[in-house]
Formats: sequence, C-alpha cells, structure tokens
Amino acid sequence: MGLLARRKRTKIILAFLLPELALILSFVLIPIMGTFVISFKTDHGYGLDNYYGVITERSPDKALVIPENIVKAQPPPWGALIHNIVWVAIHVPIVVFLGLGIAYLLHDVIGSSIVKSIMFLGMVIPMVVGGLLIRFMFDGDLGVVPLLFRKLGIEALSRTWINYPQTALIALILGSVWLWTGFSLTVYAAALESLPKSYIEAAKVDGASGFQIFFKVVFPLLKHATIVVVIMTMLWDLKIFDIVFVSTLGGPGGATNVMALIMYTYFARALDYGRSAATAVILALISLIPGIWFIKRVMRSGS
Amino acid sequence: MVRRRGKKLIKYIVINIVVWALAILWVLPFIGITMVSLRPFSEVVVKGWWNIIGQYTLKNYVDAWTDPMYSLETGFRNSLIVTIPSTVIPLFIAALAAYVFSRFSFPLKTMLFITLLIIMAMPQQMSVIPLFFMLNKMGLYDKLQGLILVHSSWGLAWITFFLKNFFDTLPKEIEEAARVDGASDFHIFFRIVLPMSLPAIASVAAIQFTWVWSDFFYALVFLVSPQNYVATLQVATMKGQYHIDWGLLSAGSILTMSVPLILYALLQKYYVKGMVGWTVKG
Amino acid sequence: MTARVYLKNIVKRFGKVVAVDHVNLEVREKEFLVLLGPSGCGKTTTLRIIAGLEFPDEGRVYIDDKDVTDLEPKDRDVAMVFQNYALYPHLTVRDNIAFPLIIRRKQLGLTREEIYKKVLEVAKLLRIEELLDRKPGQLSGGQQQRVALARALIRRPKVWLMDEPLSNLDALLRLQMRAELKRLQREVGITTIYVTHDQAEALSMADRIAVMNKGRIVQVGTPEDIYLRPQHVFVATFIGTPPMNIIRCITDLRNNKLYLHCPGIEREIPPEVAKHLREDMELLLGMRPEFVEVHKEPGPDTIKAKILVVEPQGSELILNLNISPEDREETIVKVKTKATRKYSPGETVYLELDWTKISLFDAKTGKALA
Ligand SMILES: Nc1ncnc2c1ncn2[C@@H]1O[C@H](COP(=O)(O)OP(=O)(O)OP(=O)(O)O)[C@@H](O)[C@H]1O
Ligand SMILES: [Mg+2]
Repeated sequence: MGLLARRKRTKIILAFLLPELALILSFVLIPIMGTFVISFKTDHGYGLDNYYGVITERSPDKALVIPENIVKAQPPPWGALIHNIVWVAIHVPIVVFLGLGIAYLLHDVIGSSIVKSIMFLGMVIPMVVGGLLIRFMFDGDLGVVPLLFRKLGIEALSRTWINYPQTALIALILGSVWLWTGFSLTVYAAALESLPKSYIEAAKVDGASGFQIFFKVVFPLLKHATIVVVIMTMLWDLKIFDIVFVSTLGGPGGATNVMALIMYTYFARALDYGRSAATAVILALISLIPGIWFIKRVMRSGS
Repeated sequence: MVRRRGKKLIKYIVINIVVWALAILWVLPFIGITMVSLRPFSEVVVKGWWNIIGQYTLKNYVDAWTDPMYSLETGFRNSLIVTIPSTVIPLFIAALAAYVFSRFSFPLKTMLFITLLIIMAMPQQMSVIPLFFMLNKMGLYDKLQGLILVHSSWGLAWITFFLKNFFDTLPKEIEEAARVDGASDFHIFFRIVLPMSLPAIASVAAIQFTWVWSDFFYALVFLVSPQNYVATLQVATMKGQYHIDWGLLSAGSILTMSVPLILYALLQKYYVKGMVGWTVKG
Repeated sequence: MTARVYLKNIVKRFGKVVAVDHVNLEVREKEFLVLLGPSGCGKTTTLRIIAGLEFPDEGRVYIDDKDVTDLEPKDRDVAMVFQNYALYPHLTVRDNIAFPLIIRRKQLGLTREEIYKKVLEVAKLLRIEELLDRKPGQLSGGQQQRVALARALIRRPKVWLMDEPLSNLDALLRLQMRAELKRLQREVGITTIYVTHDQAEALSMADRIAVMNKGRIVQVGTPEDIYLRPQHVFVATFIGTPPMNIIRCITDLRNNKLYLHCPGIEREIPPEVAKHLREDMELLLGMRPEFVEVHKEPGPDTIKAKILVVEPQGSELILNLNISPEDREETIVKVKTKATRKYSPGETVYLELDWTKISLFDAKTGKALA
C-alpha cells in the first residue's frame, strides 16, 4: 500500500479509536489497576495483609469462608465465597436444563411466543425490583411459595423463607432461577431455530425415541449454546449483588452473604478500602475462570 | 394407528399443560404485586391478593410518586437524566471503534480486543474504589454527571464487541462500492454503515438503556443525597429494614420496572436479538 | 474523459495464494476488454486492483499514463459493478443508482431533479424503471444485478469495471443486455474492463480478450485470435464448445524430414515450423471440432475413426470418435458436423482435417509453436 493511503488510514483509525481508548483508559483500566494497588496497600507499605485479613475473617457478616462457631452440617452462613459457589452449583444446572427443556417443548406449545416473552421478563426488569419480587414470592403472608407449602401442611416452609438461615439462601437461588431462566430459554430457542430439521428427522428415521433424540442428537448439537449459557450464568452468579442487597442485605446472620456484598460492606460500612479492594480482586480473579473461557471461545471463532 | 395418534395427542396435551403451568408460575409474582399495589393492604393480608373482589385504589401509586421522603418523581427524572446520555454517548463512541476493529488491522489490535473482552468479564466491584476517589477529586461525586461518565465508559466494551460482530456480518463490498462511487471514509461510515446497522443499534440502545436504568450498584456507591437518587435507589429505600409497606413497595416496583418493560414491549425483537446475539454470535 | 489503463508487472498475494502473478496488461482507450478465465483465476482481484480496492504487492497501475497505484478509489474516477452487486440495503433503488452522483453533486453542479432524471434514463435502458421505489431486499438476483449495473452506468468515469454483471440474468435477457451494454459502450466510448467466465459472452462482446489462468495472463488478443490462434494449450481447451481436441504426438525424423506422429495420424511438418523442433519431441496437436469434415469413404488424406457416441445438438451433431488404429487404445476426438445424415455408434468414418487451422503446442510448456 502506498505511503499516502497508509497515512490516511492511520488518521482514520486514530480518529475513530481515540475517544473510546481515552474513556476506557481513564475510567475503566486505571480504576481496575487502582483496585489492585489499593488491595496491596498496608499500614507499612505494600503486602498481602488485606488478603490475609479478608480470607481469615471469621465474623459472619464479613467471612468469605467458614465463619466462627461453625459446626458440622450446620445451615448457612458458610461464608460468602462458599455461598457464591453453592449459587453457581445449583443455579447453573437448573437454568440450563429448564431453559433447554422448555425451549425444546415449545415447538408443540400453543402460544409459545407468549411463554417466551413471559419468561424473558426477568431479564428486562431491574434486578432490584427482581429482588423485591423474590422477597414477595417467599413472604409468609403474601407469597405463593409459603402458601403452597401451608396447603401441603409443611409448616417449616410456610413462613417467610428469607427470614430464616435454613431457607434464605435457597430462596434467593430459586428466585434467581426465576429471573434468569428467560436468558437460557431465549438462547436455546434461537439455537434450536437455527438447527437444521434434517438432523432430527434423520434420527427419527434411524429409529431413535424422543428422549434419545433429545439427549443424543439435540443436546450435543447445542453445545455452543450451552457453553454460552453456562459462562454467562456463572459470571452473573458471581457478581450477584442487587437481589441480595435489597431482599436480605446478606442476612439473616450472614446466611446469604455473597462476595460482592462483602466488598461493599468493607467499602461503605467499615470504610476499609484495602480489604474492600482485596475482596474485589478475589472476586475478579474468580470471574476470570468463566471469563477466560469466554475469551478463548471468542478468539477462536473470530479467526 | 388410532392408538398412536391418541398417544400423540395425550403427549401434546401434557406438554401444553406443563409448559403453561410454568409460565403461569412465572408471571404470578407480577400479578401478585399488581394486585397488592392496587388494593388496600388490610384486605390483601386478610383475604389474599388472589381474591379479586374488593376495593381498588391508586393511592399507593400516588404515594410512591409524590412522597417527599422517596419521591419516585425525582427518581424518574434523575434516572432519565442519567440513562439517556449513558446510552447515546457510548453507543456513538463504540460504533466508531467497532468499525475500526471490524474493518482495519493495526498494531496491538488483538491485545486491545482481548482487553475489551476482559473488561466485559470484570465485575463492577473491581472499579468503584478508585472511581470513588477520582470522582471526588473531579467534583463529580454525588453528581449525576459522574454516574453518566462511569456508565458510558463501562458500556463501551460490550457495545464495541456487539457492534464489531455485527459489522463483521455486513458484506464489505457495499462499502467498497461506496468508495469507488467516491464517498469518503466519514461519509461511508455515517451514511452507509450506520444506516445499515440500525437494527443492531436499536438492540444496543434498548439493552444499554435497560442496564443503565436498572443499575443499582454504581448508583448506590456514587450517589448519596436523596434528591440525586435514581429510581432503583428510591425503591430500595422504600423497603424499610424491618417493616415492609407492601402496597407502597409494589407500586414503586411496578413504576420502576415499567420503563424498561414498555421499551421491551415496543422493541421486543431487538431486545432478544441483542441479548442472544452478543453472546451466541461470539 | 476516457482513458488508457496499464498494469505493469502486478503481483498480489493472499498469504500463500498468488492471486495475481506478474500481470502486464494494456487496455486501450475506448476499448472493451474482457478478462476471461476459470473460477478463482484472479479476475476479480485484478479488477479490484484497478479500482484501488486492493493494493498490489508489486507493480504499478497507470490510468492515462498517470501512476495511480497509491490513489484511493475515489480519486481514480472509475465505476465498478460488483460480482455480488453490493447494493446499499437501506436506500431505494432510485437512491442507489443516484448515489455516485449525489456524492459528487457539488463538483458536478447537478440538482437533485437533474440527478433523478438521469436515474430514470439509465433505469429505462436497463428496464428497471418500475422498481425505482423498492429496496434492494425486495428484488430478485437479476433485478439487483441490473440496479448494480445502472449505478455504474449513470456516471461517465474514465473506466468502467464490470465483474460478471450479467451472470444472474436469464438467457434471453442476458442476450439483450449484452447487445445494449455493448451499444452503450460504443456510444459513450468509455474504456471498459469486463470480467466473465462465460466464453460466449467474451467472444461476442470483446474488442480484445485477456485470458487468465492461475493468476497469469495467458493470451491477449481479438476474439478471432483467441479462437483461431491460441497461444497456449490452456486457451485452446478453455474456449469453444466443445473445446479444441488435443492429441498427444511425437516428432519423428525420417529422410531428413520431420514427421508428426500421432495415433492414427502421420504427417510431415512444414519446414518453417520444423526448424524450431527436434527429433523425439512431444507435441500436442490441436484441432477444433468444427474444422473437421466427416466422410463415409476413405480419401487421400483421411483418418480412420470409429464412432463411440452421437450427441445431437439441435441442427448439429457432436460425434465422439476414437481415432486410434488399435482397438485396445482410445484417442478420443470430438467433431461437430451438420445433422444432414444419420450416424450411429460403432460405424467407421473417415475424417479430413483442415490443416491450415491446426495448432501445435509444446507438450512441456503448453506454448504454441509458431
Ligand atoms: N481477500 C482474500 N483473501 C484470501 N484469498 C483471496 C482473497 N480474495 C481472493 N482470494 C484468492 O485469490 C484467488 C483469486 O480470486 P478471485 O476472486 O480474483 O478469482 P475470480 O477469478 O474472480 O474467480 P470467480 O470467477 O470465482 O469470481 C482465489 O484463489 C481466491 O481464493
Ligand atoms: Mg470473481
């Protein structure tokens, strides 16, 4: 390419890229670096004190792992990090199978687009409102879930779930299923739509049953969609904050604490920026597990 | 033959019942708070909100909108002031960058692109402490402008990624035709590429708008004075720590989510394309 | 207005693929030059280099003796029809066609009304005037192609570049458009470089044809040259339906005279050709199917052949014949003849070649022997 053309191209590239780079550098990258730096700051220079402090913290409202007085087989609190992990472990499989199952069945359902729209609502509403609605669903006086168990005569589950350590965490996780299944359903529905019918027809001709078709043909073909759902759900679960903040504030007794909330507690309540930053860094590093998976996939499909 | 058809019919009916039961379970909370917001609380508590006979009133809505403590009127105004620029600004800036990412090669391109992807995976928590100090220094702490700046900057990464993916699908011959026809690069971008990208832009705008409107964490950290509260902060404060006024809270929730819901009703197609597209396309 | 285009030693690589390989080509003023070649031979790439959409790795591009290698497309004053149309999807057909003029409105001093009047003229020429208010998405492939053509024809640039602009039209429309396009080009006299892989199109439209293969230009010449005097065995076999018959032969020195020795053929090589040759050289004998006469009886200089297959083609027949004298071997030639009498497989006939229209190629290089 000629020098002139190259110089002109360089100008265009710079002009188009500069605003973005400036904003990202100042308000995204520098703050991220800043958080790293702050997390290593101690009274006497730099060190790992904050990390040590955050990880060994035992008070139930700030513990990442294993709060004080823990006995075996005890209900939560188990520590925020564990709560996040439990969240992922329960939430991801339910969301995957519920979304995929409904998407697969929708083919035969009357008014399937209405079903899809209803399920998608959870993706559209503010998470704060979502948290309030979860609180409402599990409210002893008004909520549907406790009412259902009252009708079934199970007294222990007919009270306000969110007020008791035994049920609070699971209530929130189930609530997040309610909010997030729409995402998985939508991804799977789109993927199923783009799936050539001939595969399923071929399997039918080969004599496969409905279940076999689903597990042996459809599910493997939707691998890409599944990976997307798993990655995005994990990222979402790890960052979870609004729902918890507005419905339980981490309570009762730290039973629903999550990483993001601990970070906020150090920052806004304890005014301990070092530990707050250390918590944020730990959260970010954990998020990089699904994050790097995501990046690898993008870079591979891009080339 | 008949038996097979009968079996098929039963299967069909069962599937419909199961899926629709789930769908009804899914809307139930929405119906519930709507009822609670429209009925006097005493009636709702005694008879249950599913009981549709009784009094109806808009009092809760009027209260939520006008209450001096947590006026949603102010909240809405602030939310709009924040959300509109925080949608337009990053959309415009990221569109420029995405075009360069899609059409040109330049040094450090891959590294910059990976940086964008890493930012997309970063939790908001990773930025707030330094931003808190920076905004303080800039005099933008507890200011809506500060929030706009933060939202705009953090929206850039995903919007760039989304639009780059979209631009990649546009045949580049169209731009080449325009170049042969004599159009300049700016002309090509603004008159050819952007108009062709309207569907993608609608998706991005709808989603970014929803996310900014729905944001709670940044608002919580960067706004302190109640007169600067955005709507999500307002509803959150409507819920007292120990006592919950469900009527007021329901009305506030409905009002707060009504804006993204209306947008969703209008732009449903773009929403779904956007949310699914930027992940599935990847 | 109109211009000469000169490509000097152009090379373009995509990674390991050499898309254009040392191409030298001069397109004369007002000439209609057709770039002809099989798929993937580098026609589009060559055209894009002339347009300025692709920068050559080596070589220079001249338009009107001016070196334009480093110029942007818009500074070259060319118009191009893209192989995949490249219509602006958000603009109506009318605005698509008007686009190149609207961009230069100030320069040209045209009002919108004047531009739209011109649009209507071109649209009429291409018979798309009733489509003007539609968007490209609502058009068929052939209609889109005509819009793309209109967008190029509306301007009077130095050069028109057309990449298979008629490939998607139905047969009748394509014939009509060929004539229209050729007439228009004659009338306005704009230098045109026209890409196609359809040899009939090339032969009927071109002032000169440049035949490409694997990134190289194999031969440039008038349609007659290309047809009758192929410079390379590739050209011989690429052009003609059916293409030229190629028979493997060797030279044979007897009584100090060089003989051509082919299956079923034995003939002295004229001395002016023979002086370039040696004994025991492998040659390729090329004969066009239409320059062979078929006789029932043997004549003085005929070749015995056995009919294998008879393909009727309207008023003509194509005979697939085995000319090898040994029954075990097969040397198949195709011959085109009038369907005035009946031929049947298995029948033996006698072929008379028109030796003035025979081509000889070096079997190693594929190049024609003078
Ligand atoms: N952008 C590109 N990147 C990599 N390879 C390319 C690119 N463009 C063309 N090629 C390769 O260069 C060679 C020539 O391509 P070109 O498009 O010029 O062929 P063509 O003669 O126009 O073929 P067709 O008749 O099919 O249009 C091909 O092998 C093609 O694969
Ligand atoms: Mg081509």
